[in-house]
Amino acid sequence: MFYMLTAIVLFFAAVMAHIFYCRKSPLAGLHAKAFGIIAIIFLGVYIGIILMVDHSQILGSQGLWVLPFRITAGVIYILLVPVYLIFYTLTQQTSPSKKILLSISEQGEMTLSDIMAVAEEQDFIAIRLEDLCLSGCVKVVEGRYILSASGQKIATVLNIMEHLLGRGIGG
Amino acid sequence: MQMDIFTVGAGVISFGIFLLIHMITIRWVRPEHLLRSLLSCVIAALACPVVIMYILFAFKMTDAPVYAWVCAGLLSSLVQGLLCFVYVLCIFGPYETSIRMRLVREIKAGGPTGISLQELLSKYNPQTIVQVRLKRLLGSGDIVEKDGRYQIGHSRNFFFIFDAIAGGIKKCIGR
Repeated sequence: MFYMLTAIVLFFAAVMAHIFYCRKSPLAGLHAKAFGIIAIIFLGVYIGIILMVDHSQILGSQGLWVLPFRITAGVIYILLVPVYLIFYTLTQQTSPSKKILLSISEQGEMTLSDIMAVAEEQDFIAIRLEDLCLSGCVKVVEGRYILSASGQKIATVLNIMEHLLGRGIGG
Repeated sequence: MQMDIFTVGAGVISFGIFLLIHMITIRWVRPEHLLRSLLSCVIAALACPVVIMYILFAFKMTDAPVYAWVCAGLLSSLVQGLLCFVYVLCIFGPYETSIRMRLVREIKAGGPTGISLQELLSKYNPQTIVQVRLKRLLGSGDIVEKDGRYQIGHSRNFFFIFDAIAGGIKKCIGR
């Protein structure tokens, strides 16, 4: 459990460092890459600790506290990184389902036309098309949307997933 | 060291079993039953690491006290749970529900000449988005319909929990 505790403490330290970075950064928008770098640095610290610190000298050699789950703790640390990024991304993006639920929750009850009005007001498609163009996945040629090379790669991955999952187009 | 590898291994193998079950069952699941089906699949698969660790314990694969095996079972369930969470929210979720992914596929279907905004909106528009989502939310019981009016079904659903956590992070960031 010593290793689990170390990994969890380091993960929360990485989250704190990222929050501090976001508060100080003059740039708006998502800082997901920054968290990736911070998480790698703290993973390095964890590896340093498990290689250099002989816990049995400090805590003894038996008991729950010194169970040797070094790799497990490291794997859990690595898996917690995307978990945090999922929640961090949600701070700046609103999915249509969440918007519908929050609107119904605020209003108490809504009709289909009220919900449609909320969806049209949010302009989900235009915002995302703009994002795709800005990220370089899609380009506009003579008023028509065309996939760029990176967009084609995403489409190929989606096709593979369609074969694997046997489900048609989502959205 | 051996126990450590068993723990991670049991978690990864259980995740593999989850993926297999998920890939077989998801083909027949209707969009409105998607959330419920995924949840049942994840919960059922959470028992796998415990079963695997029990088999390893029964065959005395390594010399360790009982509490170490119990701990290993719990940790491997955690590894498997995290793998499922990341898969559902980072891979399957975007494939099934992301508007961006749907747009990429619609544009791809337009061929080398692409697609105009009008053509795109004739295939995929706010009405489609709302209809698909209402089906899913009604199916999962997150909202209920009474006389043509929609109300919240479960006040403690995933969306509200996720929103509360994201809200906490947003508050900390201060933007």
